[in-house]
Amino acid sequence: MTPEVASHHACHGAPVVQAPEGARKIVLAGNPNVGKSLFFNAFTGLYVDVSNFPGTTVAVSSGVMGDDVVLDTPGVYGVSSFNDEETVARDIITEADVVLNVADAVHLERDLFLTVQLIDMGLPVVVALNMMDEAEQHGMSIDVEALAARLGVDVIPTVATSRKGFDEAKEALSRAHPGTLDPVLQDRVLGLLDRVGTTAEALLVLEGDPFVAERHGIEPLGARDEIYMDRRRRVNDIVAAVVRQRDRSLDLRTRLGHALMRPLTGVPVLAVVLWLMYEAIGVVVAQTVVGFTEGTVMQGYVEPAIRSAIESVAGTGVAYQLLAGEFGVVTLTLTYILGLLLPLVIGFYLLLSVLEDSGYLPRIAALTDRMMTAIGLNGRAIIPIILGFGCITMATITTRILGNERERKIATALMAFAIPCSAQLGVIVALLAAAGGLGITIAYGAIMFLVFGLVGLGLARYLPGTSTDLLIDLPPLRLPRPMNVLQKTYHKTVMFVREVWLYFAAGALLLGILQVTGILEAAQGVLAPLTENWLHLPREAATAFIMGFVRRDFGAAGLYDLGLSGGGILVALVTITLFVPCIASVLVIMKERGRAFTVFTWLGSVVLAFTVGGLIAQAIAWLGVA
Amino acid sequence: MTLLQAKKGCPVRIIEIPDDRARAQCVRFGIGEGTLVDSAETMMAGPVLVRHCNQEICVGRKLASSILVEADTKDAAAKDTSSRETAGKHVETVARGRRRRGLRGRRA
Repeated sequence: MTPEVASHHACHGAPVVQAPEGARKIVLAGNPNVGKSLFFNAFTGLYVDVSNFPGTTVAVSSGVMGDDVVLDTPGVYGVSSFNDEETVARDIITEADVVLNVADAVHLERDLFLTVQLIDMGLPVVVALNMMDEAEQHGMSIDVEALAARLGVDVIPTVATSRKGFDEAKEALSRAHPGTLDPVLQDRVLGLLDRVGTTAEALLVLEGDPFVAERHGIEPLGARDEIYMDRRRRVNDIVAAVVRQRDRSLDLRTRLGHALMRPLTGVPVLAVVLWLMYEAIGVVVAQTVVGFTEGTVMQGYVEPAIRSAIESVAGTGVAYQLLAGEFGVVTLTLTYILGLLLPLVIGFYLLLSVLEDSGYLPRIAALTDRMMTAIGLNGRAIIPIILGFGCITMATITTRILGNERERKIATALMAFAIPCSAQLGVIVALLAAAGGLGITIAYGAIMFLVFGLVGLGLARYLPGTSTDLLIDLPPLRLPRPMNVLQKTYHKTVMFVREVWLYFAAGALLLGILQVTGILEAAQGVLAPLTENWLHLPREAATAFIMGFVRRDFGAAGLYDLGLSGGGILVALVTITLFVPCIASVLVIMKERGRAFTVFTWLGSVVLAFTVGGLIAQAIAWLGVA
Repeated sequence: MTLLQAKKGCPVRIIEIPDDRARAQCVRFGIGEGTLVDSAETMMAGPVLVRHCNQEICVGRKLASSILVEADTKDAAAKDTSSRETAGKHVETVARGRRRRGLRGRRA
């Protein structure tokens, strides 16, 4: 049995993690990319529970080791509440019975800041000094005993990739104790203890954490700068005393990392990586794999079986239409999620995990930062945007990593307007190939890029507030570990499906109702003049747009059968790409960004699609090119 | 001068990081007001790359243009031990100055 993260948010005295009586809560804490998950996996084995932390969207893993509960926390550079990850880490850490702090031996100046903060919080700590092998490669020698003496806690040298030092670390946990406290800081913390229950929380209040202060009904104290600088000095002193480094020249990996961030070398590499991703996702998964899972398995076997089962129970009336008809809740949801989305999402998360573990993502963020600032974002936003080419629904959820709501809004709108998802992309590529011209393909790409840029500029200008700046620490480039990549992909995929399946079902039901009541058909008639007179497309193209409400690729696929010419294909493709996001995306946007923003995005994309599409159609007619 | 104007590959000392959040985050990364960093480099069409010890940090241009730095006048080789002491003193000066001017930086 694995322990559970409680379903209510942490508040006064209520523990966020329920542990069986007598079990200690062992919490893993550390900076990002220091190998915490390797410790977690080694300690807990296969039976791991991954769930969203209450009130947030941050995944927390928990498992058991002997009689104790082990909790992994998101990688953070310090304990506070700058973002969701920190809030989650903070709430779990402050409730820990023992903290295993995993620190990167190569970056001690950075990692020891968290270590010393954990010690200042009065928690029993064991430090796993990880990546000792890499430290050696860097020509560093670290006096582990002196480090332990200064910190006042056990320090165990480890190499997580070969599980070196794990047994010693596990054993040290049984004798974990609080470390050496700074006398001045201790005095100040003691002064708060009568109002705030624990040393850990008292320290956070002293450091000005507004949430912890509010929890105890007091004003946060603004001593963060002072405490942080003092802690920084203590850390620097420790590092100066225990670390010797012979060689500080740039190694090959560092130089390679630089090349990835410089436009002249970085852009071609990024182009190749994106092309490979496209080949893998857009061609292999979206066409071959999905062709099998959706076409052969779901539509060939599963759907007919469900239909006949439902027919035998409910007959062929309205109930059948709603459950198993064209937009049947059961059939469409299952086919959509298992046949179409699952392969795509697995494929995308697999590649994303590889990119994440290799350390390439922050470098893409650096490479694209300046371009992204022009449209009110920073380099980090490139991650959801790349994911958007996989699935807008998945990418909309990923916008949570962005700095503030304004950035999340801009990124969400850009994806909803101008990024075709992989399902749609497959049909678009096929249509462009059928149109047979490199010219059409270039024109389509250029128009979409232009619209993306203009919409971004417009949103950046008119959305109130300011966006955050890029401030990231670059992890070293590494070869990803297959087991880690598979585990991450598995957990992310499960979380995604768990989070969105209901939205797909709701979307299918809504469409089913529209169809049964005849509203869908009526809308087709209303749209017809627009398609014929303004877009210069055949009347039947209206059906494609109606279908586009459901699923973007349905819309694009509907155009396939119209037998359009080159110019017509361009108009149709631009219009359908800019057209509304699929119904599941719309529902997720509503959940993430609220109703008003969803209405804006939805209506905006209808207006944008028909305006841009129409202008191109008129231009083509005026220029007289077919 | 600002971090954005720092000369490529030269060590610079961080004087002031006005933004609250950024200042705290930088201190966690290992860079406080007064720290002598190994080098700073504005990347072509990109952010500023700051190297400090074995670490690299990317700072967006706008943020970099708000961070005040000075070129290091002392021998860079001697920085390892001496910089930490001077850094401490320097930081106090900056902190005092900030208090005097009532500067709290932007609250995010």
